[in-house]
Amino acid sequence: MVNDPLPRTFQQLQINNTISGFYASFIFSMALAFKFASIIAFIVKERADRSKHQQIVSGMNIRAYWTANLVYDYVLYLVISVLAIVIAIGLDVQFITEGNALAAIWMLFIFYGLSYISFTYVASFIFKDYGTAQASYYFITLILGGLLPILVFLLRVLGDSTNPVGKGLAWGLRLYPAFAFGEGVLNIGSVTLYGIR
Amino acid sequence: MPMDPLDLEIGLAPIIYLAVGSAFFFLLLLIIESLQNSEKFMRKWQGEENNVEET
Repeated sequence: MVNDPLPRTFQQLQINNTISGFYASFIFSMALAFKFASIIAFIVKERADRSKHQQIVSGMNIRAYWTANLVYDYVLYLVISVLAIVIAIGLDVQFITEGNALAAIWMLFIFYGLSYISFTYVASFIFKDYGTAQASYYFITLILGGLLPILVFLLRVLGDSTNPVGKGLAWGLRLYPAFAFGEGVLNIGSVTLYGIR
Repeated sequence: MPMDPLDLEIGLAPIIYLAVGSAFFFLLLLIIESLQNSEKFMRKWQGEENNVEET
């Protein structure tokens, strides 16, 4: 028996890219959510244990404290990001490697780290217990960064009446960095679909 | 009409939001910290009187 299927059409390839965008947006958000959850746990624990207070009393500059934390967390985040992109390239995820997409994905990863680590530090003031902070922050990042972009994407492509709603929601929700990142990855995967509809 | 990943409606808008957000949230963090270290502000925030009660 010989299996010799016809090559995939342009439209089928674009649908493949969009589905890859769905997966990539969700999986990248899920993977990186662990990193940010570990950051918030450490910050809240340091405050709850009074070790931050002890350092301040000992004469530590508060700007130096946050800057050092940011640099350390960002370097660790960059290691994870580079690995994630290299693995995606190695597995030949086409929507990431085509044209300007790779440059756009790199920029998303670079600025997502800076933005969301700072946001995480601000969010750490809300929590008192580090266990609660870690668990709830993970789920918040996962849902708002992984699932909400898919919902907005569906609103944009479902029909002419829902398209402006999706676009309008996206402008507001992008203030939350995890959403901006997830939406960016998903949009890059669906770039041709947006172009042809 | 073909679109580019770096078009405003595709990847550029999220990138700009993230780039501006990184500076904005770090500044916000430093402002919150300085407010927390300001005794005057914290007394107002927690609704305390300026005078310490004598026991």
